[in-house]
Amino acid sequence: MQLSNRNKGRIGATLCLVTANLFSTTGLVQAQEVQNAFDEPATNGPGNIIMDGAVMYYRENNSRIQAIEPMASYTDYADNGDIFSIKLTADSLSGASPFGATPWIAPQNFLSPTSVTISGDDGSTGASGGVVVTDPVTQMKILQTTAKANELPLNPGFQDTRGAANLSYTKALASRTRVTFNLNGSIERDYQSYSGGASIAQDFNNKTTTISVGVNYQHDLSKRLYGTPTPFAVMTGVFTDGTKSENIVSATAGITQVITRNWLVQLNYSYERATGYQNNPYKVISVLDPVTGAPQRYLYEARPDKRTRNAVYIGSKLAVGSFVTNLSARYYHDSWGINSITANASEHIPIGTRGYIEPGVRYYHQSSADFFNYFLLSNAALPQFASADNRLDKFNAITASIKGGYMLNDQIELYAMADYYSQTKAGTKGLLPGNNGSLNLFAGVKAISVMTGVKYRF
Amino acid sequence: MKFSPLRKAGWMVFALSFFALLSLTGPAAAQQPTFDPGKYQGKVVYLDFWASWCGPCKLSFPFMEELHYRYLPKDLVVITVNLDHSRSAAASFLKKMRSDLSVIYDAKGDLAKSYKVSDMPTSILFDRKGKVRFVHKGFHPDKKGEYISQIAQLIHEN
Amino acid sequence: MKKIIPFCCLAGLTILLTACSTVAPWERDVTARKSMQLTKNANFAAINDHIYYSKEGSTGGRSTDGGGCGCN
Repeated sequence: MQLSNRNKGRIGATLCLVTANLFSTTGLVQAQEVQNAFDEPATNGPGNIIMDGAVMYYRENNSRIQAIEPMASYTDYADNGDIFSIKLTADSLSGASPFGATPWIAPQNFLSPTSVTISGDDGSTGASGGVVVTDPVTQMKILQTTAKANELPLNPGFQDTRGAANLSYTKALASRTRVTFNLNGSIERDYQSYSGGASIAQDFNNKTTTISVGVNYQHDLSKRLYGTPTPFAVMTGVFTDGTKSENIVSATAGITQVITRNWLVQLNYSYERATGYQNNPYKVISVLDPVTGAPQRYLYEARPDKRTRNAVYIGSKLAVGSFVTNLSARYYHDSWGINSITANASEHIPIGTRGYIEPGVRYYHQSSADFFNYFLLSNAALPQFASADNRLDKFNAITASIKGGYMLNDQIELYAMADYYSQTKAGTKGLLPGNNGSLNLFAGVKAISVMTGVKYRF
Repeated sequence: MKFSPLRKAGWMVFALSFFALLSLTGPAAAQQPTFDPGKYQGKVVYLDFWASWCGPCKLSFPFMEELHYRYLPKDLVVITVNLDHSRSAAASFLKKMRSDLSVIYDAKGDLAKSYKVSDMPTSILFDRKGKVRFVHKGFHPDKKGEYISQIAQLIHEN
Repeated sequence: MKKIIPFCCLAGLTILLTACSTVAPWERDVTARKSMQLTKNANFAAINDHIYYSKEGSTGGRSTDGGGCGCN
């Protein structure tokens, strides 16, 4: 049987109708009345003012990093369709973090310049271990730490606070066209980041299709105390490089489509190009004896000064009754050789007439950066680039989460979330030279985070 | 020509869907809501398409109530067309709005389709002769003055 | 070039679905719901983005425009 093009087109149209019909049928089968407060229309439209405040607590296992992050936002949806929004976030981090050095069967000593706010006077012991001394020549304060035998060395002097502000303004140019401008600033003691961007969104097909494009520019400053270390400089050295900066230009394009009365999908593409300083000024890589695996020295990491990232994201939301199934997937590729996939699934489940819970899982896998290595060997020439940062390793991560919300009345929503996040090594396990297979080189984290907040509509 | 069981099943799904589609459109045709601007001959008509889930519709109701009372003696008729799938959602909205405007229920959107409604809400202004003169896509509170002057213009026409 | 192919497939799929769309402006009651917003809770999204950004090598993807009640 031969199909003419016209017939093919007709069959295509029939298929479309059938699919649409199946979905609209499920739409009709579902309860027609508002059963739950989260079936009520969203209040992100003209005439609403919303204040939203929340606190997040984050904790990694083995007493690594702990963070508390309060945030507050104010959003005004004006009568003429304009939206003005401001958000303030603070961050307080403390605890120990891996800094790239490999574990060893004997204790290891590290010396690094410090700001010593946690340790008090010279010679005193810091809250999280380590001794601070002042170099008689340079007057630099140096933190001496000892990593226990067979354990992953951690940087104990880690403590920082961050403040961030985001401003956003959306202007309705026409009934189907919106432009959004945003400004962001984030400041911590040794790092600053500023960015600004603009995007435009246009609706088509009776507003069932929305296409948006945006550009963003970001400028980051890395200002480690006493300056940033020169790549491959020996740890403890005098830092000659001062403040370093990085520029990031990014662009996004997206299409959101309402497919049936109760199903919408989204497809996005994002491109990002970073140039400038991209090292972490606290991360080192161990140089090991090629036969025994014993550490000989520690060098500051060296990364390329250019990075191009590409990501494609597809997401779907499907309502059946008062339930909503959320699915999304992302493919990511960058010029450092990292490829990753992310898959996310969650189910919005109505509880009673005023609440919901949303259990979810997320799977993430990434390959390692081309220049990622757990260590370098003392008998080999230095490569052009090297980093032992665990963010550049090959690993899998699983998140199990539960979110929930409760509408106290028409105006007040209480909400909470709890997450368990776990990274595991993917691919071949890293091994030290010699015969120390028992030492675990993978520095991935396991963490819990909890958050609670309240949203108030005027 | 022989059909495989899979293909047969495929055709069954097609056929069933076709009938399901028919059953959806069939009864609607029988109870199609009607609006005849001719019925109000001699009066200006403000016809408003709305739904309970539509934010700007909430803003438009006090305005329409105001019109209703302000222009009553000068022969303005405000008629609203509700497009909710569920009658009870519409009822609770009207109760909340304390509205006493007249409502045509158009759950299947037949009337909306015939007036090519492309935004929520949409209001259509008919002159005294029953002719469409102005169409407002959406309700923009900052354009209330414009809406009122259009109505005034149509009322002054004879 | 190899990376372009999956993107084109996705784009093609979306366009196909777009062609199917039969949703009228007065049938946006479900997409207008709180539970159907692309960003139902901005702080949940912000926290997740922050954690993943600081622990993983990838960024980018999500965006927030579209869907909703399609009003005005």
